[in-house]
Amino acid sequence: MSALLEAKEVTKIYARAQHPSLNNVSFRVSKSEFIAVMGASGSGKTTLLNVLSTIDTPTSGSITIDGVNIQSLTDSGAADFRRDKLGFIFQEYLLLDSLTIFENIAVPLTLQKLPPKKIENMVKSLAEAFGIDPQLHKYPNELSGGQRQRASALRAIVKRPSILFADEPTGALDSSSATDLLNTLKESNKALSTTILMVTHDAYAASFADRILIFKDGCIIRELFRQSDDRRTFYESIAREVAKLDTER
Amino acid sequence: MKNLSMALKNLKNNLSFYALYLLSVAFVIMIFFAFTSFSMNKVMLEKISNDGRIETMCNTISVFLMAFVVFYMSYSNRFFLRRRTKELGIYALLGYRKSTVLSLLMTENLFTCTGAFITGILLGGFFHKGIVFGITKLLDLTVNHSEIPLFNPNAIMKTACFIFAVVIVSVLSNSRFLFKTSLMDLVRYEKSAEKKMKFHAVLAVIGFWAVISGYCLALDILRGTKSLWTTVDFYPVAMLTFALILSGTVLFIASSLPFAVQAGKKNIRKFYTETKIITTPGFLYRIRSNSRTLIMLTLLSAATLTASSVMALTLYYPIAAVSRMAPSEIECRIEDENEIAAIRQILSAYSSDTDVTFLQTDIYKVTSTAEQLPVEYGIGTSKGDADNERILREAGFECIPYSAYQALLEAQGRTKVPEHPLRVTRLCFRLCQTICREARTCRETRTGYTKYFP
Repeated sequence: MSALLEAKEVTKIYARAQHPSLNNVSFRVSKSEFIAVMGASGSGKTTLLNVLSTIDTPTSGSITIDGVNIQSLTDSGAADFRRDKLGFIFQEYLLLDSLTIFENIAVPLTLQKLPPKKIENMVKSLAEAFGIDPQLHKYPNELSGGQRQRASALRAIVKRPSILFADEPTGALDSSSATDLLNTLKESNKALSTTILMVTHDAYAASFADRILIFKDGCIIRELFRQSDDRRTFYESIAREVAKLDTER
Repeated sequence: MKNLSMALKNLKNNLSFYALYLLSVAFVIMIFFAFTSFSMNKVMLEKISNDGRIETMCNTISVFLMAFVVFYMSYSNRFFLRRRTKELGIYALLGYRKSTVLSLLMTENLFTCTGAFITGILLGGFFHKGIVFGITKLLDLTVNHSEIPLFNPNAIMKTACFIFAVVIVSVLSNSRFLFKTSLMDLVRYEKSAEKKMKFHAVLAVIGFWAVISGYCLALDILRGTKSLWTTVDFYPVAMLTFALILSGTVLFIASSLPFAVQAGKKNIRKFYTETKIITTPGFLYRIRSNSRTLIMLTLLSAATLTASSVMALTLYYPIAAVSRMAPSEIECRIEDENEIAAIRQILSAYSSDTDVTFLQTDIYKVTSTAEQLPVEYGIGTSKGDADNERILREAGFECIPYSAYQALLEAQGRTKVPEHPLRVTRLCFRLCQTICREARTCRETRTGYTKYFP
């Protein structure tokens, strides 16, 4: 499989920090891979997501997504790049409160200047596929946290991004909503071959991924691969690894 | 979704949020429009101003008012923008370019300003009518109200231009904010940890005394001739007061207040009580994170107060002046008694005797050798301060009896003789009497005529 994202010796040092938040991190993400980044808080996993997704800039190193070196992009170039190639899911949903769910999901397609009829069809069929069509004409504040996060996931998926960045997407959800959301991500990964990079500290959420990078002090210290299709076995091996990390602390 | 419908949706769903902005802008526009209409109201200005002084004052005030409104609106605009940081972050993440976000904000701003403009013009028109009505009632003037339009097209034009300028200013201020703030700050908008502030004892003390001495200095003007404002000079003392109060306010809020609270924390027995342990650190935290806003609000309300009191004084000035100014319709000064017959002859040639009422008033010219005399005593006596430099007047006070003044007003059909000039005249008389007593009195009789057209 070809590399969709390639990070080479990426380092990020914040002005007032004593240690680098990212220390010479290199890795590749293949097309339609579902990868999870784990680590304790302060291990650098969110910094990694910020730097990879054009939200922040690295101090040194290079990042290529879909053949584009993202450091070379201008301000508007980066905006266009986010519009065409990137999808985002954040812990705090980040839906636009004054728009209905339907309109929220339609915004990325409108930005890509698709014909209105096509936009309507795409939003409707995606909502039906993921079972949120009853909520389409409600406003975000009329929905539960789980429903909002699902809507925000669909907003990220609908434009078929090259890569979807998820930052603690289940952080604010109860366990059943979290499972629903993770299934949504898994489904879109399988059915639409969406490449996903998810940052989480939760072993259960990570067990939905194909591969896991474990971060500590700004470095990747371990890499776990899913051996079989059985999520439960993978979860157990992740849990063991996390327990081992905790005792090493 | 197009920018336009997005902007409309934002407005519709955040109505209460925007209503505050819209109302404050509408209020400001109402004041501005009423003021502009008043300064363009030829009918009124003809009545109350005869030398262009009111017009100049109106123009000066309107520049001041405009500057204040622009400042106020760009500040409140920025304040509202800050509350929407998260929303701006979402736009950026979805791939909106900064220029597109800017045009979205501009569209919203245009809608609010148009709404505020219409509301402001409607209210301002009636407000202006109210002012005119109040002044004519108060001064007992005869004004043809139908000649004064409710909406003066010129004033509407001027206000519209001004609103346009305001929109431009807010666009500039928005773009500065947008292009200065990184995506990181927009998306990860949680406030970065507040720095622990150190409150310097020296600054705290300076701030405290600067505020106290600033206000004492301002109040010192009440002592009249003995105050520093007269003994030193007006402008240096005014500048000093301004500087003291400005720096004092900043230091007082940023240093003195928190310093005092911090010092109170050291008293352990008083600090560890049910309420103090919550309120004291809470107050310190709020000061730390909001001191700038607090300083701005304090100074802004001070500026608003100043602006509105200057405006009130300026509007009152013509009201007060008009009642003193020229109590007769046509007045001519005559130094030679023979001229009276000549004037009567000229008048009768152009009008019948029944339309014209003559009133003859004796004017007493009072001069003095006292060292300190009011400015009015010497006005118009030297080149540079006279309206018509070819006719310089002799220094002195021209006085008429109060009964003559009353007779003149009554001849004009003004039944209500204002209270205020009464006091002025009496004061003037008392002043004249004292001057007369201590100085050589030169009695020079002059005769004035008043022609009255009913």
